Amino acid sequence: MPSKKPNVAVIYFPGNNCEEESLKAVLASGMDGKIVRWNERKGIEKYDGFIIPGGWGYEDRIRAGVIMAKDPVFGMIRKEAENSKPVLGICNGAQALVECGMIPGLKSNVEMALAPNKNPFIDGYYTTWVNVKNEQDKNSNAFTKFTGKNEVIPMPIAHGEGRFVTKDKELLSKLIKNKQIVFRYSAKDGDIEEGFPTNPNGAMHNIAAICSKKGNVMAIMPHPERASFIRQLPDITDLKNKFAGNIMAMEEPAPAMNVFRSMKKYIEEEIL
Amino acid sequence: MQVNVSMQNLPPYMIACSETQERFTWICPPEFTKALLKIYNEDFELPQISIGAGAFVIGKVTKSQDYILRHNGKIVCNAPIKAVTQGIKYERAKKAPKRNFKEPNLKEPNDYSKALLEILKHPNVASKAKAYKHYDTSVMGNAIIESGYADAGLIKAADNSAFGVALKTDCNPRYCRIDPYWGAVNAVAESMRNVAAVGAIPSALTDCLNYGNPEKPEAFYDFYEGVRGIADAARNLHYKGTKYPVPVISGNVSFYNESASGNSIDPSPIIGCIGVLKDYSRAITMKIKKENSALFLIGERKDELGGSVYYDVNNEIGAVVPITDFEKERNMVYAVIDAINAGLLLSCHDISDGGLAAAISEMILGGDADGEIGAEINLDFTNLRSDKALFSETSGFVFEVEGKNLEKLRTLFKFYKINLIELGKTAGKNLAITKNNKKIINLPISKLKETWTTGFVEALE
Repeated sequence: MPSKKPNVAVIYFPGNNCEEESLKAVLASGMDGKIVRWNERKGIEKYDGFIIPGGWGYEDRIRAGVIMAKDPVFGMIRKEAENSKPVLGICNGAQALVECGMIPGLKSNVEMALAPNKNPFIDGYYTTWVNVKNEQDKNSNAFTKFTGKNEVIPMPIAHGEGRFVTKDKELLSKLIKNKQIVFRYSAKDGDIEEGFPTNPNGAMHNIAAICSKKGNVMAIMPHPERASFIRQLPDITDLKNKFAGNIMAMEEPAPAMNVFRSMKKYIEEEIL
Repeated sequence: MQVNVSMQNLPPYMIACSETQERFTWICPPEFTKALLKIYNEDFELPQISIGAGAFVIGKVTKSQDYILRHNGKIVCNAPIKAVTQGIKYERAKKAPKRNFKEPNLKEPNDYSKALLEILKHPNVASKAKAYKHYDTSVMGNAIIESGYADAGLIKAADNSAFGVALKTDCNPRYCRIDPYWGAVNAVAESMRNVAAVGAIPSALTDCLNYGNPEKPEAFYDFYEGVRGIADAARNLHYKGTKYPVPVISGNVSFYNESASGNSIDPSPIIGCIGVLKDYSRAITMKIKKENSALFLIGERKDELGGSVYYDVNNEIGAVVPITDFEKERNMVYAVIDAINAGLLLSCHDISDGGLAAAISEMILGGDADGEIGAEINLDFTNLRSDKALFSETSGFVFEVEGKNLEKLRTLFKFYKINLIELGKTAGKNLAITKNNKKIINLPISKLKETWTTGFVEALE
């Protein structure tokens, strides 16, 4: 058991607004962490893992995530990922990972996009709680080591461009074959209903999160850092109603915390 | 010393007075200036992020009594500071407008189920999910109760602390059209009821006062009465445990809101109330939690339908708005807060738009309209005609209590001298309302859901 604690950088770009709560989830999972400004650059290689948080990096100029993806620090993070370090892109971070091609990462160019939501209820930016199902075995990537195959987890979404799409007709079957589709939008009982409201944004194949072929990089559109503690879960979830009136239980981890705990285990096993 | 601008040749008055958003000014001791500029201009590289962005020294505080603005070397403003800081006082004439509101003589509905559905369909009652799901309700990860689930939102206040902060805003412009004083009192009372309904103590108020043209004596009268109403309510709905007013700590005013033909908007003093919960885990939402719980009402129903949704659905406005009984209102709010914090209530909802019937329907549905437990209600507790009993918007609360907590509940409400009215119980898959042994409403939850979830959406189309 390594004596050093995993140390994760939460990279803050101008316009991100989810870095604080992302760091909280990192620390609560047992890792060390720090919010690192995009332009600090020195010492990026010292960190054991990286989180690109949500928000409006560079005001979503041109497209969400594209300017972030072209920032020099992103090149450094890409190099660390090639050395197997874990990189978790949440929402805006996911968009940046797709814009730079690190996700799906099969070719050297951009192969997918996170397109504007297709939603019959609300046009544009949409927030709601969803359920996502883990499609993979526990050890197939760095982020589901504590999440069982077919386990369903509640998380909130808050985005206007969350629809995974691609022009490449063969890409989807490649992703499935490579075990790169980690989370898919599902009903609470795990049923993958392809329409709204189970699929909140029209993403192909109900994809909510994709990882790289090696499994150490993941782009996830829902926000695990907003569903990591019992107190964050909405009224509709039975877990929370059970603990009403119990402050200690309210602060306990909720299922999405396992994404961060998995990152910690991966770093301990592969990096340290 | 230059104010940074986004385009050249802006006239000096524009640089000085334009209300461009998202700018900050600092006044700092001179020894901090260099450090401050470094943070913005180097650490956060503002000039590299956006054209013209950055922190610039634009002036200094002096010992003289003048407010001086220079542009291109010329002095363009030189005023004594008192002129800038003391504000402008003027006397406005006020005159009570002639109001000719009358109570209508509505026939009793033949079909109460239909009447309730019309209420639930009204955009002021129907689910507002189409609006609030367009905004981020969980950023920062501290939301305990998000939009729609309860009468107020609730966030966790700070790390390593059990405190919760509740927030709600409220106003009913129709009440204010009838009576600008009581309408404003109601706005304060209702926003306080809303934070109390999640278990929080109303602790501070803020206001957003929207009125017509104050240069017209009738419009100014409405503003004057509105402010008087807010102040009276804040003074009389004491901060819990004290005889102190709940302070109005901030606010803004918007005047000159008129149509092109010069008609004033309805007076709209929007009140925001902040509530504090010592233990956020005690907070409850409005959704019914269990079968066979008891449902109670506090706040006797009165014939106060002026400005109500029921009258609006019948194309009337009425004349008698809900009048706040300050002592009773205080005690209702304190009792509900104590009951919630003692864990005695499973769910709670205050009564406002749509009255008692709308409140019960919303408790059955819950914020996401996914509720599955109905209610059996008996209206024999009141002598009011059933439509007035169901749809009057007199202040009150409805709450759900498990059998094991009934004795403690009665003791608590006796202490506060608040009458507990038994409404019925949670049961089944319908909303069933009975009066004098006759079932006057019997609606399946699915029908309530269909109407309540589409009313606001359809009104927008």
